Amino acid sequence: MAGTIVADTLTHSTAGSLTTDYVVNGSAKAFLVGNQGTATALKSLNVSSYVDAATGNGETNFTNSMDSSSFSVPGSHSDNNSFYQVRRPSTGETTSSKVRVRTYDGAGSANDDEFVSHAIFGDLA
Amino acid sequence: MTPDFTGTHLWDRLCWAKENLEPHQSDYRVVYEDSIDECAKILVADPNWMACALAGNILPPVWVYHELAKDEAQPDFKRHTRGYLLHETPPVGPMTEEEAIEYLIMKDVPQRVWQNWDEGNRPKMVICKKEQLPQTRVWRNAWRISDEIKVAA
Repeated sequence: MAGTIVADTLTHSTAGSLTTDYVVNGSAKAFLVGNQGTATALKSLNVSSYVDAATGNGETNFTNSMDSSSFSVPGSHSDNNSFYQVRRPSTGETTSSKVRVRTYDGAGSANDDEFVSHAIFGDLA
Repeated sequence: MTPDFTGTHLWDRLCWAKENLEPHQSDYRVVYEDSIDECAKILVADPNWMACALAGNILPPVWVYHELAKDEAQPDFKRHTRGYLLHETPPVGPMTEEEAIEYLIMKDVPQRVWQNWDEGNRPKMVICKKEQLPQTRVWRNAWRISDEIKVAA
């Protein structure tokens, strides 16, 4: 691909050096910013589709699968008045090609949010 | 125009597409039921993915995903060893929006749903426009495919 730079280390004039492993391994491999109420993606990378499975229950499918279902899913969800917790089911509903994310209100009830976002960190297939 | 991405890592192709293609928000929605105990699910195509599908020569053939799913279904699966299929298989050409939705169904809807969608008393899957869905999410967890849906011959 044109414009390729091959480098193992990045060196700053005063701050020191960083191996490019940090960049490759530490970058988000997918992300989604969406609206659960309208089931629409506002911004995304490496996402093929979003599945509205129920209230507060969504599934994000990846275009470039991860190498396994062992990946990290930091996320945040909020509307104008409340903040919600993100739960990622540990088994079954998450594979190398999709992640199920559930959102709840402060009382523990499933709830849709105006803004949801999550990112995927890990290794690509 | 999409560059020649032969042999280019799929993730690099997606990054190129995000920078160079205008996202396309589809009005199509895929409604499906994969369990009698659960409400209907609604699949929505991602706008960046749809732009890739319409432009062509970015996405791998859908069979690649099926091969990876077979690998993952093995009891001794630890991690993918055939990820190269995503990157080295020649990408598919431009699709119409309707063809892209069919591709997406085969990629992201469970096979047990789309392979037998019209068997049984009523269809398990319907493609519709977003205007045909309920306009509010009241009773969202009770949404079902209507019994009055008629399957075209």
